[in-house]
Amino acid sequence: MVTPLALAEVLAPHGAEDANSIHDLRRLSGGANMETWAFDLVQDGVAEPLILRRSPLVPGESGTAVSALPLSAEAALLPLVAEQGVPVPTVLCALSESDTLGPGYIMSRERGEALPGRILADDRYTAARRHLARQCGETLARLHRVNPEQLPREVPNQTLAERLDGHQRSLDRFGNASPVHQLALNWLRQHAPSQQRHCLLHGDFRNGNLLVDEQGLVAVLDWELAHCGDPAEDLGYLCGNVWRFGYSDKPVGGFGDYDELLAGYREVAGWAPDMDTIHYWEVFCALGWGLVCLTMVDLYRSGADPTLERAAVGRRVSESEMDLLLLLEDRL
Amino acid sequence: MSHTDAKELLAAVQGFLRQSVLPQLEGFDAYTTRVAANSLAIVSREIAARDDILELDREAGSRWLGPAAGASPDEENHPAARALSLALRDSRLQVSGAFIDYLRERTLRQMAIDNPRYSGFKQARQRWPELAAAAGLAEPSNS
Repeated sequence: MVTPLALAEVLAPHGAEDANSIHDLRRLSGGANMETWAFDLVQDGVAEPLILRRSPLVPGESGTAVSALPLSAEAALLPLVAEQGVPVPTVLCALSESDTLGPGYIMSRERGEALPGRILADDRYTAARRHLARQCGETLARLHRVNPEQLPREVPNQTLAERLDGHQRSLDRFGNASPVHQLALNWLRQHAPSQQRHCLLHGDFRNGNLLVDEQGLVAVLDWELAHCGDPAEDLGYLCGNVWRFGYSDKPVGGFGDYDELLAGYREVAGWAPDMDTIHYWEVFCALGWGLVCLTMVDLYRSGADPTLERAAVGRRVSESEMDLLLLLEDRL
Repeated sequence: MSHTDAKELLAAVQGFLRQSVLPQLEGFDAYTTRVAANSLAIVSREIAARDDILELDREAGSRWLGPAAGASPDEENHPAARALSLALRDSRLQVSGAFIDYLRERTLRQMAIDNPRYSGFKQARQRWPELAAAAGLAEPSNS
């Protein structure tokens, strides 16, 4: 149970005295894979805004489509990307499985908005929306510069062929009930980009995991799907229709255009992927979303996580099928 | 007067959740309650439309894999769709324009049940108007 007392105990080295040091504890909505809590640590009348991220489930069950990083690895990753100039929260302390609140970690709560609906519609983010695609390109280029040899060993590092094989195993394990998913996987096998680079990827870099203020990007959140792969994957993923939240005519997260994203990336990296490669990874993203939905159903059915949220996400499988058919039109 | 039917019960619970429960909640509980009401709406739409999808699958299974694949008593699990998917996996099925049209119509119908507000649903109805019309899902002309 996440209680003020439990938080005060783990934060004792950071000055928490008792349950009264913890104010305004609340669970945030959003984030189906993880519990995220907001609270303030109050010392001498000064409130320090903090976030607890914890995963009460057994992490990283092998063979699932969503193999999340252990939160300890996520906590170790954040300082590495911060060194490259990627804006991320500051990690305060890591919680092991033996802690009552663990596994998880506590980090700074940065000011900003992460809800896509507000970022895409509120007038106060009008200026931010103009810069955001370019800033995303620049930020991805910086994150892709992290030295792979420094990464926590839990960060998955597979070839594309291995991942596509993994997707086939997942489809089969979930009953292979969607001809659209199988069609898309066949297409992905036949059209794999011939030239691939390989680096650290965020793996879930999208509207919803970006903290934004009136000027634009404030912090990149939710690193649990970080892995190594082709840098174009992060760019294509950001453009997946499911992450445009209804604003389909703005391919980059519902807020920007391809040119802005690629220009930002090119400015920092010195190169940028071509549009065919971006399209390939949009297809990969749409199939991946379908597998995420099926994984949620599996968690629900197995009893591992019997929450309504998991069961309901299972009905978003058809979104991935619709997007795949739209993306593959005239390309089959 | 007959007893309350299933659709009426579903509608009543949705109304209760949205009008009585939701205004008293905030944060994660409000979010989950909206998910609950949406889930009931999906069930209502599925009751009305599921048989059409199963029939479409049966026809497709029969057309591309032979009569045996079309007929199966285990309707809940969409056996014909699964048989077609496995045939694709094992390269036993040549993908044709007609087959793609079947997948499009099937997905349009499923999307109409699961989330008719999804942006891809609108795009698909605009891109494939004949298929959408055949499924009774044409875009209103003055929208």
